[in-house]
Amino acid sequence: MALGDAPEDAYLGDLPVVLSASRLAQPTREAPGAITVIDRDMIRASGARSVAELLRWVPGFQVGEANAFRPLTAYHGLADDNPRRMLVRVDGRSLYSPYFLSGVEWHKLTVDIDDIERIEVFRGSNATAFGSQAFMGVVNIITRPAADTPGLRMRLTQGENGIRDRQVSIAQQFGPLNVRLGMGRESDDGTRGLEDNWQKHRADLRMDWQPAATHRVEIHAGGVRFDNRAGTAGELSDPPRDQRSSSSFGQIRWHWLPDAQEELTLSYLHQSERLKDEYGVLITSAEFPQLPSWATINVGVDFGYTVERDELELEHTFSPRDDIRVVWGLGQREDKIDAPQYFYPGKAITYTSRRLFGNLEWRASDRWLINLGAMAEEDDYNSAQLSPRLGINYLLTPEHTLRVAIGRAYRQPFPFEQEGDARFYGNGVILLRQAYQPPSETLAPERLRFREIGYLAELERWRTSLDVRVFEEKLDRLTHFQSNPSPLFPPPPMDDGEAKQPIGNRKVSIHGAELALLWRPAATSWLGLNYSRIEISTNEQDIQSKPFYKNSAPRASASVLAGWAPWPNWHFSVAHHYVGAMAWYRDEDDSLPAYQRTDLRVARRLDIGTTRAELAVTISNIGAHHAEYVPWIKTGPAAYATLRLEI
Amino acid sequence: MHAALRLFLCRLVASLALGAMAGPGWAAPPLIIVNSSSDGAYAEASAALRSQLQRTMPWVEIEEQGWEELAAQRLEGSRMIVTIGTQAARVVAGLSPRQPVLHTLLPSSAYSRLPNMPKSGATVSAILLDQPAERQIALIRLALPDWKRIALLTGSDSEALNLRLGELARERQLEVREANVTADRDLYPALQRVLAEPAVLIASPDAQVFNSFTVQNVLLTAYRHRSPVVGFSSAYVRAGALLGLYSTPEQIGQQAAETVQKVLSGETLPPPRPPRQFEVAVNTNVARSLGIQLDSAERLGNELARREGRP
Repeated sequence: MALGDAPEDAYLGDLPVVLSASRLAQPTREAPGAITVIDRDMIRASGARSVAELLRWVPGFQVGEANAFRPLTAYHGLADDNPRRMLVRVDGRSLYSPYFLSGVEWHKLTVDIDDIERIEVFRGSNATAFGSQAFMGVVNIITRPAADTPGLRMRLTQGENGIRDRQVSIAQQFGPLNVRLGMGRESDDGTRGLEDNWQKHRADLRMDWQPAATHRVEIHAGGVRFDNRAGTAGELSDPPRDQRSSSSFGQIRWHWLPDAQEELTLSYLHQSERLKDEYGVLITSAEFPQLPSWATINVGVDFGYTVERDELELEHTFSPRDDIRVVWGLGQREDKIDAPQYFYPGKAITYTSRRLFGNLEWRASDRWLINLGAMAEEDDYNSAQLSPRLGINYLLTPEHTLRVAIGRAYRQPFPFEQEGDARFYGNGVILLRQAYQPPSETLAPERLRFREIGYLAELERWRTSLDVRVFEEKLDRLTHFQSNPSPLFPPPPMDDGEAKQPIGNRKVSIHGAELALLWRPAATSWLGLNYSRIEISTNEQDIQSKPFYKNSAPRASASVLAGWAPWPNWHFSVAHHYVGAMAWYRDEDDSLPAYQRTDLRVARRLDIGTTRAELAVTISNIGAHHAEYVPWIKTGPAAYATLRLEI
Repeated sequence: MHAALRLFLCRLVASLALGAMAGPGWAAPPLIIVNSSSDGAYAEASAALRSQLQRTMPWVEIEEQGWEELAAQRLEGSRMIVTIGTQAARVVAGLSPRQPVLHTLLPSSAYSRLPNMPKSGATVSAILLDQPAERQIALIRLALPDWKRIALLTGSDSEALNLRLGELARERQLEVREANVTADRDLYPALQRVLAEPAVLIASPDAQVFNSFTVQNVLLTAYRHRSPVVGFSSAYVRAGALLGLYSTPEQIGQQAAETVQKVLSGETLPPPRPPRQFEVAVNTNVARSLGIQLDSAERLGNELARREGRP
């Protein structure tokens, strides 16, 4: 380290590059797309128990709850109960799960909401930077470095509906090593009328080690054990039962920082996921008329899986000239999926994808900024596809920016779409039902062509920002599951011998506008207004199918967000949302009427010496019970109190 | 050829004349440099000092010595001693030489702790590394005119400096947020307190508060609070401070040469001084990320120098 014995070394010695390119947030005015940042003051003031709830604060997003522990999040619709066209990353690690219908598994987040530094939401496709999973958008969660964490923090939340959350985090510095360890337990009684009470245990470790001025090593590790009820009372094939899932990971990221302009990052991740969900179903002639009345058939079901993921990535940022900054990298991800129920005859699948990406940022003048980037990604099913993007930002004045972006993105269908085959056997030998069958030929990647115009005003003097985005997204080859006759012979007797099959023939065109206005006179005071308008048209009528996609996003939605500190040590926060009618990509009778919801939080700071304490009361979802996912699941207000201590 | 001959004659005449004045040890060179190290910043300062004297007083013979083998008799006969770095300053001060001593390339905290300091400053002086508080505040006003709040973290070595910075800032209608840091664990809560609202954090060369281990905490926390940091070295700016104000070893060596010139021409030793020449550095990446519009480092430095009455 630089610090020697001589007093003058403080002036003359070397220091590590702390605010390196990977740690500095890109100014929104320079990004090749629209970015919404939710910072820590807002996260805390929201009172949210999960990060997914915060996406209600971002224009264009839809948030639903399949059940109490499985939030659904989508950007511009096109989702179902496994939204899979957007990506969530935590410190560069994907929260996207590769088994079954894939998508983002929020409940497997190991990091505590208080350890999040900021959430950067890139509104729009960012496959150019992050690949296929970021097809329609990406949420980047950036956690606090261990050095920027209180020595000891505790948080207790207790509330209605059995809400009981306990969190503790400790941080300690050992010379060049900073360590933070967080642990927590969360639970609640679930949704009224559903079997979905749950309990989560989590641990999360972050170490920042500075072995030399030009090297930094980050180590992240974490694990979650999740116990929940699942199933539906009275539903034979999905009986109420206990499920246990777990997830753990270790990640090492080595940064080489020869100077403030250059950074090389090499990351390796290993992650394991597991679900135990095995049960038997007893079928009688009541469910299966072909059966003689005296006979029963036992169907063994095992939705359990294990997934082992290994991922290696290299990223290099440098400036060959003062006006040019280049980021390029390459990566490989391998998932070993063992999920016998989903992949008949039960073989484990190894799925590999590789990517090469680059972006050139050219500051052509004080006013013009040009971003040109591309991602080439290939997997075991499809050869390399190129997802390019061109973004041009023009500074009318330092406070007013105009932006145009145009590009193309691909989403590689994942293993279940390519070769999912779910069969159910009676007494182990009699084929009763094929729930899913593989596509007749390998599915081509879904394609998205987008263009947008943005305007950003950042009026420093008025502490106000205005972000307007007008977009058009044209998608084709969208994969959709459709019931088709099973190719098996003899056809399985149940479900009329039909099995769902993925077909990549949907075309969708989305256009609309998003507006975000934020007045923020101080870090803890704000007044924000979000509005989004999304119009979706499809070719579904041409191919004579139900209009699944058409209503998958509300035509209009709006939010009002306010935070203020009327007296010292007091803080109030209100978020009110209006969500127009929509459907989570199911049948027409799953359509939801428009709804409104309000979340409120009041907090009082109570500092005792150097101990910072805060007592807060949050009431989420104030107002009448209403449906946010399917019409028959209605949720209403829940109040809870949180005590936070920082020492 | 002619130049070399002239130089030789000059030196001969000068050493005879000066030597006669200095008494018995006339063979000793008039200027002795005692250096803390023979490389890095110490070598740069020494090189600048020598080359400047070479140009202005080519007849002055200079001898450089390391501090390790220094003894009192080796200093005898010289007219002036310049030390470079704290280690050399300590050894020379310990020998209490009678001739004028100029200590350079050391912070004021180290200077004030040197042994055997004479009551009157006539024979011992220094060119310190510390930038004057006036200059720091002037830089903040110049570079960040819209920022009305500064934050200070005070440890035992920065009490006097921060007191002065606070006074000056208040005179300029700046709000001052201060906190004391007496132990490592104070740092995090202190940063949270002073940066509760965005402020310009002035890092002080107080090793208890700002060192290479705490630099991460300081820069990351300040960044998250959208608060720019003003550092006291080029390394600080490279690490992530928005602005840096510092003097290079070369600038200090040049200033030392000017003082040597005056003393050898018969003037008395001036009192301890901050560096006169300085550099301003700017981290453009951090400025962009924080959305702060800044003039170039060069323009800021020139304007600051102009306001101090230098071209």
